[in-house]
Amino acid sequence: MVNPINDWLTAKSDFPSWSTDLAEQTLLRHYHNPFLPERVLQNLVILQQLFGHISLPMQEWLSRKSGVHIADLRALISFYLFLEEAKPCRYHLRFADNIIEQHAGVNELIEQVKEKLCGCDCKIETTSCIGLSDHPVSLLVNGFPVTRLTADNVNDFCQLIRRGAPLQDWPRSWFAVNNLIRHKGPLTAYPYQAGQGIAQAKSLSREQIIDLIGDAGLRGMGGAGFPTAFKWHWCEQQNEPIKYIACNADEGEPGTFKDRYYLSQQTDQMIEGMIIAALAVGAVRGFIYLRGEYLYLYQPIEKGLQRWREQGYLNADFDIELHLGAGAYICGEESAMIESLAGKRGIPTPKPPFPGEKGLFDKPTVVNNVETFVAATYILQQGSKAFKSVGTEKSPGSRLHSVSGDCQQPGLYELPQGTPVRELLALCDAKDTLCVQAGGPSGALYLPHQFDTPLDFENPGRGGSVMVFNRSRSLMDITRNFIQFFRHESCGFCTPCRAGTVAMCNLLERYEHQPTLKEQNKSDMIELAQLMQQTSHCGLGKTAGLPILNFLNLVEHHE
Amino acid sequence: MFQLDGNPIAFSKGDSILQAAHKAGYYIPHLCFHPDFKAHGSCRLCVVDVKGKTVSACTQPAEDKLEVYSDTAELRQSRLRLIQLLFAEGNHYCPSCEVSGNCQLQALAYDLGMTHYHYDPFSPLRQQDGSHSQLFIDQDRCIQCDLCGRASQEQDLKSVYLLAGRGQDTHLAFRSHNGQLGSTNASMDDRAAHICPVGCILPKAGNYPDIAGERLYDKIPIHTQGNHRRDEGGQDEP
Repeated sequence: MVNPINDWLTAKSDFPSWSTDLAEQTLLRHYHNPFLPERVLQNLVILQQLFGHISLPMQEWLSRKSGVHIADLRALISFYLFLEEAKPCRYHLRFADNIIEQHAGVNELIEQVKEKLCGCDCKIETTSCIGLSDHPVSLLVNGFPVTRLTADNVNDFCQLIRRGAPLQDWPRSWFAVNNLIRHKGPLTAYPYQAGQGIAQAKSLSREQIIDLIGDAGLRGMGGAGFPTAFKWHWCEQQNEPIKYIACNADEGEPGTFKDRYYLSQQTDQMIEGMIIAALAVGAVRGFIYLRGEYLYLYQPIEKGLQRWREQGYLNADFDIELHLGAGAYICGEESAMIESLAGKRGIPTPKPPFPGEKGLFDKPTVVNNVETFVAATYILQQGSKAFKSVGTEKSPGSRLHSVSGDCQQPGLYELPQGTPVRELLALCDAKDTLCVQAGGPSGALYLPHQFDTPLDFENPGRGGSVMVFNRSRSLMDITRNFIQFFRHESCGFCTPCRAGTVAMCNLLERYEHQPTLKEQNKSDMIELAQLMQQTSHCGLGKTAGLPILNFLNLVEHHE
Repeated sequence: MFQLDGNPIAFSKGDSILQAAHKAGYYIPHLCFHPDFKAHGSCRLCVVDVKGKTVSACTQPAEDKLEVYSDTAELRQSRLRLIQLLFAEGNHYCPSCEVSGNCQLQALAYDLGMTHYHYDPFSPLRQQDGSHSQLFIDQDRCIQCDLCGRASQEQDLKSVYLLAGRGQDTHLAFRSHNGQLGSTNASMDDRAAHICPVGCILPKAGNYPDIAGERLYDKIPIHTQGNHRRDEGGQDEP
């Protein structure tokens, strides 16, 4: 973790040919000791980005260097979508195909692009949500986002590819991500002073820091809503000299992009929050797990870490390492993330033990979402009273919502916890709304008669995403998109999720196309959704059937 | 002591519910669990109800005074559906299978009263591996339980087998340069060669030794017989 200038992080369409020197230099520039077995996944991510693929000679070299068997490298490559063995095309297009992009016409655009680029050196694929639902249609080109591709500019876009224009020469504006906050609140608009929260934390005992967080009533903003102070306290109590802080920056829930804002605009608050957590529990090292789709944020975050190092806040006692994911939604699940941080396939591990007791490398680990760390910094700087002056009694504070879909003003809204759905719909100027999906596919579907439901931790759909659908939309399309997403993202570990997500897609297709067997198919789907909820190993499988239950609920409501 | 369906079960510290029940001679259906190896928790057949929650008995630590429910109508139905999902996702041809009658998946299916697939078969295309001189790998029957992986790592100290891929593409892989079993140091003498609960890891020679009617699960159901391999001797289970 030496030089913030990393060649492998630049957008490019010409990949150098394989060279062990170049590979070794790049990895060495990144880590003092790059060939530890637990770094092997990060090394694969870097090689992928540098050379555009991970060929057999690269695998052989890395296996020799790290002592990790080549079969284990292949197991990683076969698990993480963004790692590829095949020789790269000059342009690899990955269109986001979340339902928001589907509604914005991504399928039609892909057809046009395919037609126009026939015979070009490019690969055209779809991928799950890339955290840009407020900029539809968006896609990743060689890992970097091109935002707002429309019928108007698709010709120019294809021209560039046909001409073979190097990616670094494409118009900068095409890569622009707008992080405008449409409704500000305490977390996004207070007079932040870098380091003041840490100074405050240093004047307190560990217990006092945790009490302050507890007094504010801060709860996990990733969606689980677990009391943060409890997590910190539990980790603090462990009699173990080595503890870790992990920041979950893998927001993969379709329709969610709130952390994108913090990661690009309030990096310092996030880093400061991690340092405060480290002081509170006595951690020696921190990790940020950044989703692979946010590759373009890697460099700004690394620069941010460098600033904190230069000022001495990050040092030999506590430093933070930035990790990059590689296209696996499941790695947002905390135990899967811990596995991935340790260089393994992202398979959730059984709980207990919980990370606070036995987490990364079997050491006590605090895992919190980006926004939770940002809020912790706020609490240390502004006090717990200021934090809980808004929100509800059980869900104090405010939070950022990612709003996308059928509204005039998609984007980011910071609102007090407990704000009713209706109020948010008015703010984003949504008309003729059929339903609202809060918290992504694994969250909740709200119908007009439920629009008074407060958005808080007491109600389902807590991940900070709100997708709005108007009456022109088909609920069948939405549901199909969601359950196909889960089929695609199941890690494959346990029976009900690995096989259940596939069976569910089959059942929905039957439901759609066999009108005479509707009742039978319906009861089969309900039973399967409940089976997955009841018997799955982790949260993904447990919630993967929810879109079906929501769908059938609404169909019933309409009939 | 905890209660399993009303029966008192003693346990030692660190035991899972399934381990303790197993030692006490009570059967909770399972496929990926084996008392000799670390728990996996993937097949989910050992689901039990504890404090209003459904958990896998093989990974849930036993606690004093816990009330555990395993033999309920609801859980039996859930297990039946899980078995049906396992049948639907692979390619299982019981009548011609070498391990028919000795197969734990099949035995549990009978035990749970399975009469049909219930789910449309996925009919996946899976790569077979006949590269080893003595062992054949039929991926069509693999249920991704990783018992071979654990046996190979924990007992044989060879780490031949591993799971690779993701989601429905999860598959058994082998630690060799070309990815084939024949290029590993796997042997017939390995514990891993005799641990597969289904017919995925098969000896090439000596199959179909028993006539129908005299196979392991022909007369005694799995909940009495326990999860065994015919070639394992069956000392490890009650």
